[in-house]
Amino acid sequence: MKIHMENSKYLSVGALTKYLKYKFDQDPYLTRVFIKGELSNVKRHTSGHIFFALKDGNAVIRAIMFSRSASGLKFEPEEGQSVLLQGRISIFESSGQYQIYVDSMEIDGIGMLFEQLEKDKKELDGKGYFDAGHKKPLPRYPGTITIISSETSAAYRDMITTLRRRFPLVRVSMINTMMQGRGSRQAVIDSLDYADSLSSDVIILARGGGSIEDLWTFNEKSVSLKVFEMKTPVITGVGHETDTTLVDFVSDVRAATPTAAAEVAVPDTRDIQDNLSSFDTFMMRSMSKKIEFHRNQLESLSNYYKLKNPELLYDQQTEKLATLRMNLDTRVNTILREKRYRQNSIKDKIEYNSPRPMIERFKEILGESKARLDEEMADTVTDRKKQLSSTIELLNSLSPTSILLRGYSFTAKDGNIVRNSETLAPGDEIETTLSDGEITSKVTEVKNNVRK
Amino acid sequence: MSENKTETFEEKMQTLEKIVRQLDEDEVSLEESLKLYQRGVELSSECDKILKNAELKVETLNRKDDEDE
Repeated sequence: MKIHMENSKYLSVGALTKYLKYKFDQDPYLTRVFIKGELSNVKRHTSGHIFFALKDGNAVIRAIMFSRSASGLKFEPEEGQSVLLQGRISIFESSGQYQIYVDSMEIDGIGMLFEQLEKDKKELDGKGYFDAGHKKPLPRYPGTITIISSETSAAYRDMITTLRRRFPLVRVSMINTMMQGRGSRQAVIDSLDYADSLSSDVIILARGGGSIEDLWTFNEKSVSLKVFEMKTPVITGVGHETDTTLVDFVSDVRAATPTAAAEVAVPDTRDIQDNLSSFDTFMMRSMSKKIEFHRNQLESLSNYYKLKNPELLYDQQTEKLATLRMNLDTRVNTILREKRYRQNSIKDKIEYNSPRPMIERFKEILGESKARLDEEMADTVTDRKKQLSSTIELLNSLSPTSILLRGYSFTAKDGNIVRNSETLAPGDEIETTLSDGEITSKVTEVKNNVRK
Repeated sequence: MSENKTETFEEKMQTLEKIVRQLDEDEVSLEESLKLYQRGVELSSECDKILKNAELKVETLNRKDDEDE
């Protein structure tokens, strides 16, 4: 860079900035600096670059970490973190600001992290997030398991081997996830979210051992909260036996290692088969016990004295029937007697009121009357007979025959008695009847002795 | 209800365990017991067969919203 004072003693901003940048860029101290400070105003760009400021008491320096460097971060830079960083100082020409271009960064003192962890642990514990009441029970025979781990890790291979050996019936879904370093926090949270949406029976969140920084993702409060919110039961197996991370406290089951997590997740086929055969034996025994019981019951029932002596069954009834019959007879007799008595009394009453005596009396009266009538009648007849014979005697005495016998005769003309002479004329033929015969005469003369 | 092919292994095991418990109860009638026993033996051999033929199936899921670096 040349400066031509003759042309103009004034520099352009750009030229000055370029000059300053040149000075920065070739300074041996500034091209590789080691600084410690506190992170502030951390901003992540979508491209992966991180912008922040590094504070130290009253001084501040702007910093940028490009994504190529940021991808190597083992932690998630956050406001207030104390960090150690390495980079170079230069000027960003467009703003004219000097800043540090960070190549690498690490947490200053793991102690700070543990302090934060203790705080988080206390907070979550205080909220009851570690309580047994929040632990979801694991299904005994899971059908599907979702594993969140790194596909290339030994931990994952161990888990698959364990599952295949113990319970190959289960179906495994693997969500390959970044399990350490920067970005792993969000990756794990996203994978948990995705796994929960699969509604599998169990989720295993596991990774193998590593440095405390490598495992730190599982000490993050945000990851732990996500684990706590899961609807699906979560088994955690992070690191080695000695490592207990924050997620282990909130997960439903904490396993010491990934392999242990796989073991907890599923039953052992051999155990199930043992169980099955013991079920078989048990069922068989129950059945024969039951049959034996029923056989005994049947036997004791068939030995029941009433079955042996069946007449005992109806003896009672027979007797009862006889008694009933007897009672019935007695009762019927009583009723009959009563009825008969009643009937008799009614009969007596009827008899008492009977018209028969009256009829008898009337019959008697009638008889008497008839006898009297007959008597009367006979008397009358006798009287009349007497009267008749006296009349006949009288009549006989008055009979013309006797008169004729005494010499009298009677004359008739044409059958008619001639009482008067005037009825006759001379020449008339007359018949005169005498006591012993008749004579016919002719009238020769008629003389009337008139006294008329 | 006996031939339910859609029953999962877990359901079969649960049914079997229930049957074993029921068989132990005195109230169950002999006929019912025989039915239970038959079903139990069936289930037991079905479960055994399922276990013997089982092969671990693994599927890797890739989330699309991954990887933006």
